[in-house]
Amino acid sequence: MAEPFIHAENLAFTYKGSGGTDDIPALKNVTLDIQKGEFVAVLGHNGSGKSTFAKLLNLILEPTSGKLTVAGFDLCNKDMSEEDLIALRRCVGMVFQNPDNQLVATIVEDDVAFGPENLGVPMPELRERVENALATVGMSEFAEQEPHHLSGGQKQRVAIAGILAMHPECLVLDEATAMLDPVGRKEVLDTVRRLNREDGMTVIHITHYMNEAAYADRIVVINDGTILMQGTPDEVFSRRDELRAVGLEVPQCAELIHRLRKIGIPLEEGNISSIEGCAELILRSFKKEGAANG
Amino acid sequence: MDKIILDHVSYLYNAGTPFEKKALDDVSLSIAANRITGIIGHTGSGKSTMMMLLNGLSTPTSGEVLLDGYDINATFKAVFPEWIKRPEYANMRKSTAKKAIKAEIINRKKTLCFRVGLVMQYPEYQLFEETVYKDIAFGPKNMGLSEEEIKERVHEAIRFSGLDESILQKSPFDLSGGQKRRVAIAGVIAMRPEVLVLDEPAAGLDPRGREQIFQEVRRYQQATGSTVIMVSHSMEDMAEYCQVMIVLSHSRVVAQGSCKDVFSNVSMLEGTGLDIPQITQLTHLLKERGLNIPEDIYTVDRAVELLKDIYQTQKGTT
Repeated sequence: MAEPFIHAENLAFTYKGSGGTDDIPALKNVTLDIQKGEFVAVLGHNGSGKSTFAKLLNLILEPTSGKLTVAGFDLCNKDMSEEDLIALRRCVGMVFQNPDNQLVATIVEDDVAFGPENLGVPMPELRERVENALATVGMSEFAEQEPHHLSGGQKQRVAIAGILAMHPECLVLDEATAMLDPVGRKEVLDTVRRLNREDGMTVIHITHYMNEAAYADRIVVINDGTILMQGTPDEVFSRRDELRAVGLEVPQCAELIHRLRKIGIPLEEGNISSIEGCAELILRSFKKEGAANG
Repeated sequence: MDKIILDHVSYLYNAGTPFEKKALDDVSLSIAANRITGIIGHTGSGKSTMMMLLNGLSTPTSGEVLLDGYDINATFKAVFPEWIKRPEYANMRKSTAKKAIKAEIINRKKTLCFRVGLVMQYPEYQLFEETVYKDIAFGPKNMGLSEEEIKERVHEAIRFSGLDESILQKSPFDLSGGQKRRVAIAGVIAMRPEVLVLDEPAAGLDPRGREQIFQEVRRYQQATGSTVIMVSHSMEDMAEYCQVMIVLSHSRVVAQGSCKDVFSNVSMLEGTGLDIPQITQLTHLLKERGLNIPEDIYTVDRAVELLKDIYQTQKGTT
C-alpha cells in the first residue's frame, strides 16, 4: 500500500504558557492516516483541538511530540531546510475562518495573485491561474474591486481563490465556510468536491456544519485533543448520543431518524447522512406497516 | 405595532467615485415590536449594511430610518417646522424653542445607541476590560447610571447569558470562544436596549455554543418584550427562533412574512442564494413520494410529532 499522504502517530501539541500561566495541551495523542485524494471532514466543539491539528499540517505550529509526515516531509525534523518548508507550504494550502485576516492586497485579483506570484509563476500563466481561481469560486465579476468593500462571504471566496491559484495538492479549510450563505457554502463545497474527484486534491475540511461533513468520504471527530471516533458519515451520524455528549449534533434528517426510532418506529440502518437516504428509510418502514395492515 | 420603519432607504459605498457600489437599493420595510425578526440573504445582499443603519452607525444615502416614528437621522432644519407647533415648544420664545429643539435632537442621537443595541460580527474581538464584570458594565457606565444600577444590570445580563456569576471576576481573555461571545452580547443586553440587533451572532460556534447564544437572545426577548432583529445564514436556526423573516437579495427586499410565508417559496429562496431547512427538504420529498404530510414543517420537533401520528394511524387502520 502506498505511503499515506498524512501520517500522524501519537501526535501532540501543547501551547506553552507565558508569565505564570499554565501550559495548555491542545492536541494530546492523535494517530491518523489520510490517503492522497481523500476528503476528510474534521468535527469537534470549539477548543477540541481540531484547528491546532490543521495548523500542524503545514508547520504553522511545530509538533510538541509524536510523529507527523505530510507529503513525504518529516514535520518533526527541527532542521528542515528552508526549501523544504516552502515546498511543504506550496503543497498544503490553508484557508481560515475570518477572511479579514488573510487578505493582503487592495484589489481582488492582486490578492489572488499574491500566492502564485510569490511562487514565481510567470505571466501569462499567472493571469490564467488567477482568472480560473476566481471563476471557480464565482467571483470573476469582482476581480477589479477592493476586497474590504466585499461582504464577509465574498471575501472568504476570494481567500479560497488565493489558495486555489497556488495549485496545492492538499487543501485545508479551517471553518472556512462559516461566513457563507447556504448556496455559497454549497458552491464552495461542490467546487472542492470536484477538485477532489477530478484532480485528486486531498481535502481536509474542518467545520461545525454537520450537513457539510456529509460531503466527506470520512469523518474524524476530535474531542479533548484526541480522536473520539471516525468513520463514514453514515457511521458517525448513527452515534448521535455520543456526539451530543461532546456538544455536537447530527444533521436534522439523521436527528429525525434517531427520534423516530426512540418512540418505537422501526427503521432500518441506512444512508442517514443524505436527505434522500432518510426519506427512503421512512417510506420503507411506513409502507411495510401499511401493507401489513392493508 | 411597527417599532422600526425603513422608508425608501438606499445606501451607497464610495458614492460619487468610480468604485460606487449600491449596498441597499430603495428598501422599504417595517419591523414589528416584541418579535424576533430574522434577516436572511446571500453574502453581499446588504444585511450588515442594513444592521448598521438601525442605530445610526451609518446614515442612509437617501431615505429615512424611523424608530417609533422618529427619523433617527433627522436634522434640525427638517424637524423644526413640525416641532415648533408642539405644546411643549409652542409657548416658548422662538429663540428658546430653537435651542430646546436642538438639544432634544442631540439628546435623541446620544441615547440612540443605548436604545438600539448592536452586536456586530465576531463581537468577542471587542472585549477589552480586565474582568468580565467591567466589560459588561462598560455600556451602562456610559449611560451615566449609578453604581447600584450598573451592578443590577450586569447581574441581570449575566443571568440572561446563562453563564455562572462566578465568571464575572475572570478575565474575558481566559474564556472559551463561545463564552466570550455570550459575554459580548451580555455587554449590549446590559444597556436594556428596546431593540437588539445581532449580525450573525452564532457564526463560527459549535452546535452547543450556537444553541446557547440563541437561548440567551430568546430569554432576553421574552423577559423584556423588546424587539430583536438578527441575521443568520442557518435556515434551521432561523426557523427555530424567529417569528418573522425578511429576505434580502441584491440590495433589495424580495420577501417578508412568517416562516411559513417565506419558506413556502422554495424556488425564490434558492434563486437568491438561500435554501430551506433540511427537515423541510426531507418532508417535501416524503410528500412527493406519496406520504400525506403537511408542507409547512420547519423544525425536527414538529416532524417527529406528525410522523408519529401518521405512523400510528397507519398501524391502527386495517
